[in-house]
Amino acid sequence: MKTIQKKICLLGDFSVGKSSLVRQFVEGQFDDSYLSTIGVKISRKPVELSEKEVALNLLIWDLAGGDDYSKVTSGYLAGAAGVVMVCDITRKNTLLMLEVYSKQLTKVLKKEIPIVILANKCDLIENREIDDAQLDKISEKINAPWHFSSAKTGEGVETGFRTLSNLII
Amino acid sequence: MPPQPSFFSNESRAFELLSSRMGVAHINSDQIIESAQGITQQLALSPEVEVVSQPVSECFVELFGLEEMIDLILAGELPFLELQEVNRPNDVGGIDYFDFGLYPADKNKPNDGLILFIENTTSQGRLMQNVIQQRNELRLTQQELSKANSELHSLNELKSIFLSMAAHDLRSPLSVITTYSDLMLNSADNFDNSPFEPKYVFSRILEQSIWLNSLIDDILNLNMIEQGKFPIEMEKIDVQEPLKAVVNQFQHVLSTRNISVSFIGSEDAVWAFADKNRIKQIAFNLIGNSAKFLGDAGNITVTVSPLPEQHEIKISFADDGPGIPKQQQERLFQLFYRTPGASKFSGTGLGLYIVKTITERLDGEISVESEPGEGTSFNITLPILIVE
Ligand SMILES: Nc1nc2c(ncn2[C@@H]2O[C@H](COP(=O)(O)OP(=O)(O)O)[C@@H](O)[C@H]2O)c(=O)[nH]1
Ligand SMILES: [Mg+2]
Repeated sequence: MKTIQKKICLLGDFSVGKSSLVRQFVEGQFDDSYLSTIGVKISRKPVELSEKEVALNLLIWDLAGGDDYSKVTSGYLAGAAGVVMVCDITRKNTLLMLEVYSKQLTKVLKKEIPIVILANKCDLIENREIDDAQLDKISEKINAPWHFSSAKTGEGVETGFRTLSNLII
Repeated sequence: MPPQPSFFSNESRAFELLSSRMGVAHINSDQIIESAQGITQQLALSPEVEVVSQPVSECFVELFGLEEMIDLILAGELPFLELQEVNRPNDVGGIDYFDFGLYPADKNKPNDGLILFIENTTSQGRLMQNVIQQRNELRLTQQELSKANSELHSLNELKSIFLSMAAHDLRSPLSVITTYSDLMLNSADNFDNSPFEPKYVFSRILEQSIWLNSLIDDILNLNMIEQGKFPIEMEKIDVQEPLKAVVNQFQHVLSTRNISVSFIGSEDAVWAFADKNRIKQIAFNLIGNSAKFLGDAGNITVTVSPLPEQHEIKISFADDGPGIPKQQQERLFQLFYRTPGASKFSGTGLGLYIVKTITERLDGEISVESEPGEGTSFNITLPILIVE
C-alpha cells in the first residue's frame, strides 16, 4: 500500500463548526464551548482507502471563517487537493457564504478541485433553517455532493472526509 | 556610544532575545534549507531531525503543497509569500501563533535563493483572537436577536389576523340579533297582532347569543393561536342538522328581503365526523355572503348529497346572484385582499378564508363554480362516516 500526503481545506462562515469537525475527525472529541479560530490551524490524519490500496495522510487546513474570505488567498489554498465546505443548518445565511467561498476558490486556484459540502449541526434538526432543496440547489451549482454532519455526535463526520478522500484519489 | 558591530553579533544579548522569538533560514534555488537559526529548528515537523539540507516544504506542514508558489518567488514572478497567525499547540494546552514569510534573499536577484522568516506573534495573536472572539459572539447574538424578533413579528401578525377573523365572525350573529330585536320592539305594544311568534323569536335571539358567546371564548383563547391552533371539536354528527339550523335562521331573517333560502337533503341522517359549530360557521359565511350580493330578491339553495361510493359528502351553497368573474375566483380564498400600500381588509376575503381554513381542518375541500350572470355555487366535500 502506498502512502500519499494531500492537503485539504475547510471553508465556511464563522462558528459553523469547522474546528469542531476537524477535532471530532482527528481526535474523536467535541467541546460545546466556542473558541474562534484566527489564522490557520493544520492537523494531520491518516485515512486508509483500502479499496484503492492507498494510505492517505491528510493535512487538514482549518481556516478562520467569517467575512474575511478575501484573506483566503493563494497562500492558503495553493496545493489543496480538495475542500470541505461547511454550513450550519440552524443559520440560513451560512449557506449563502458557501457560494461566496466557491467563487473565491475558483478565482484563486484558477482550476476546479473536488468539494464536499457538510450540512453541520444536524443534531439540532428542530432548529433547522436550511432545507434539503436549498442544499440540493447549491450542491448542483458548485458541483459538490452534500452530507449531513454533526461534530457533536460524530454523525457523518468520517463519511464526509472519506467522501472527499475518495474524490481526491 | 556602544560598539556598533558587536550589537548583532552571535554572542550579543540582543541576538539572544531575537533568536528566542524569531527564526530565519536560507533556502537555495532547489528549495533546500542551507542554514537555519533561531526558532526554525524547534518548529520543524520533526524537531529532532536537522532541517539543514532538507527540502523546506517537507520540514514545515504549512509549506507542504506550496512548492509551485515557492518556485514562482524564485523565478521573480511572485514578490513573497506570507502565512499569518499559523496556529501551533503549546505545552500547556493553549495555542501559540507564528507568522511565516518567504522572501527573496536578494531583492534584485531572486534566483539566489530565499529567506524563510518566522516570527512568534503569540501576544498579538491572543489579543487578536480575543477581539475576533468577541466580534463573532456579538454577531451570533445579533443573529439570534433578529431571528427572535421576526418570530415575534409573525406571532403578532397571527394575532391580528385572528382578531380580524373574530370581529368579522361576530358580525353575522349580531345582525340576526339586531334584526329580531328590532322586529320585537316594533310590535312590543301588541304582541298578539305580531306576525312573529315571540317564543320563536326569543329562542333565536338566545341561540345567536350563545353562538356569540362561543366566538368570544375563541378570542379569549388567544394563546391557542399562538401555538398555531384553531380549536376544532370533532364528533359524530348528521351534517344536515347544523345546516338546517342555519338555513332556518336565514329563512326568517331574509324573508323580509324577498330572498328564499331552501334546503335539499336526504330523509336519512348523513353522518360525518366533524365539528357542528364549525359547519354552522361555514354556512353562516356562505349564506350570508350570497345574501349580501343578492340584493332584494333571489334564491339560495343548500344541497347535501351523500356520495358513499366516493366516501364523501357534497354540500353545495348555490345562489342565482350576479356571479363572480373568473379572474377573481382564484383570489377568493386568499386571506383579506389588501390593496398595495394600504392595510384595509376587504369585506369578503376574510369570511371565505375562514371557510377554507375550517374545511381543510375538517379534512374537506372547497371549490367555486361561477359565471357572471349565472349565479355562484360553493361546493364543499367532507369525508363521509359510514354507520352500519
Ligand atoms: N450542537 C452542535 N454544536 C456544534 C456542532 N459543531 C460545532 N458546534 C458548536 O458550534 C460552535 C462553533 O464551532 P467551531 O468548531 O468553533 O466553529 P468554526 O468557527 O467554524 O470553527 C461551538 O460552540 C461548537 O461547540 C454540531 O455539530 N452540533
Ligand atoms: Mg474555527
